[in-house]
Amino acid sequence: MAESSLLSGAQLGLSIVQQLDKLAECFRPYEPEVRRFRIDYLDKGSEIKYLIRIPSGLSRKLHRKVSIPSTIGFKIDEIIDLDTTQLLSFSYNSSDKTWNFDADQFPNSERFLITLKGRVSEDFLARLVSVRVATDASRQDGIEKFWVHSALRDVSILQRVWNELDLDRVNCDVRIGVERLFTSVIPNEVRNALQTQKQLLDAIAHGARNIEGLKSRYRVQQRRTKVSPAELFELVMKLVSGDFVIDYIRVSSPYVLGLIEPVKALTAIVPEKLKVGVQTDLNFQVPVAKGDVVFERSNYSQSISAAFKNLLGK
Amino acid sequence: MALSALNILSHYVAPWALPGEEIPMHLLWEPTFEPSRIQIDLPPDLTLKELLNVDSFTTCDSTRVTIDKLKTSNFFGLVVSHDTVPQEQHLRREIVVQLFSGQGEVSSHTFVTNVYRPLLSVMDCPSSVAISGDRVGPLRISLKLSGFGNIQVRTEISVGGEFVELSEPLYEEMVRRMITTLNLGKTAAETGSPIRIDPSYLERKAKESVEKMERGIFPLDIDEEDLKEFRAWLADPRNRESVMSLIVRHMESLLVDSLLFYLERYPGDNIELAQGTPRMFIEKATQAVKLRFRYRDMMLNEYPPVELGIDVDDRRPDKGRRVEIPINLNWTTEILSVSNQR
Repeated sequence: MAESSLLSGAQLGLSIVQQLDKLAECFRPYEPEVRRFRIDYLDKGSEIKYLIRIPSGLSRKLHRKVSIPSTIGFKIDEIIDLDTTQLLSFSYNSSDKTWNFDADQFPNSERFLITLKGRVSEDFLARLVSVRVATDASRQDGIEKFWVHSALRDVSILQRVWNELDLDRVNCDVRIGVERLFTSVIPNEVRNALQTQKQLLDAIAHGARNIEGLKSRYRVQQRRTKVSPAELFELVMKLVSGDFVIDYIRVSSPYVLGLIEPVKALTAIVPEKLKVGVQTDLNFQVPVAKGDVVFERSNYSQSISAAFKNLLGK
Repeated sequence: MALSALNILSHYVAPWALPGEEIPMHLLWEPTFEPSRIQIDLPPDLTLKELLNVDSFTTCDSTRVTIDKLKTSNFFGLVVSHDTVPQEQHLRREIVVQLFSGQGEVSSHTFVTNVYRPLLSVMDCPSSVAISGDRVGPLRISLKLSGFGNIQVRTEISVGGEFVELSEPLYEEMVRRMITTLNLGKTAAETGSPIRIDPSYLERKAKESVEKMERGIFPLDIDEEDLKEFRAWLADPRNRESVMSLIVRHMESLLVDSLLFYLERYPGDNIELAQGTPRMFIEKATQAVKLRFRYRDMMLNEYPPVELGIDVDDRRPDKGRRVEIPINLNWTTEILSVSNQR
């Protein structure tokens, strides 16, 4: 319920600025002050922390009920009494789709911290941040390097909360080509065995007779290489998995390594590239980030070569 | 107005790029300094794509950008690109940035970036090929890749008329096998150890093949007679299920093929052959054959192709028969490392 109502802010076409305006409106009697505005680039979640003041006495009696329509796009996550650090209760009314609390029920403290959670759109993030990575790597001494760069593009849309803005996990995806490596490490005899198998399958498909010679050649090669296409295929898949590749990737600060996953073209069996996600945080003090993703190509190549030798039982 | 001395916290330009690739740069300083004006001088062949954190600016002759106002006063960024494919394998380019406060220039910064391209050239190729029997020795061609980056090569062949792209061998193989199986009325009787293939892949590949067949796309070198019968069989809705099962039945051998294709497709560092190792079919003795290697970089920039003319000397008594000429490509790569000159 709450999750789907979060979409309504975006559905109504409210910009983040309009959402913030509407939120401020809801808290107006309590002098709302933005303490932190955090956007998670990866999961597109946003979190805003307001400090509000609810003095005891007449003001509290006058504006005791606060109601936030979920159509704004934010839901209340928690309310903390800053004097006692006690968590306070709030509720969601599903009939009119509002988040509510009653200030009159609150303790006699004055300062409260309210956390609200919302969601930002892909478009909004694209307008806010510029993310660029090298399309192709530079190569030297068996090392491949990709540059990565991220920068805040236009913060004017958030100027009012700009000083409190934290943009977390700004992600750049680097695409590393690994397909070429396998060609050089798969030994010729495996290739020859595959060739023979292909010829044999062809001959069978063509209904050819007198294929005994081909069959025995195939058997001999099968015994010698001790590897089936399926095993070969599985090994390739293992060698391009994130778990294996992670040892050969280095990322320069301030970036940290995120997800590594193989990228497969629609019509290909074997993945051709590895997508390596690297992340950094941006904010008012650090609005730009630069770095490198390094792929130790030679070392990786040696390891896959060893893995093939191992599979072939040498 | 400058409130205090300029203290640069970070300056950056992407050190290399391919033609058309966006090159980001930035300059970040302590927020205590507020420039009154920033002047950026770009080389004429770099195009300004975007300004980051800039409120107002003017441009002059598209080579000078003057920023009058920033959105927040502590940084700016810009994105440029080299939009034409250069002749040279390497271009070094400088971007000069000057920061002014009320009184005059406070500091000047030079950003150096490099634009690289790949270059494919022929090192060795025979000018003619002689056909005397059914088997013709491979045509040995030596190609060299220099410059920078990975390329994808597509081979096209012309036997007197237009250039025709060679089709994907996997699909070609599939159709050939299906036709043969159909004509012989046989099933693939002998199957080896079962191969586990991702079922969704299998289904997709089968669907793709059916779609291609239905659109009438067939490999070039299949006998017309065979194809006619096959088309008729394919067109009959009663055979719909058989088509799929026939394709699936051929999948094991296709996996072997695709592993081989995968190995053929990447003959060397930085090179991808889109259709695997090329082959050539000759039908008539009088044909003057032209081979064309088209190539593109990772930005999908297409470069002027490499073309080769090869004379066919047909010494066979029966000149009408189709003959396959395998092509053996030998690759040399000489990749530039990125210049460290600043």
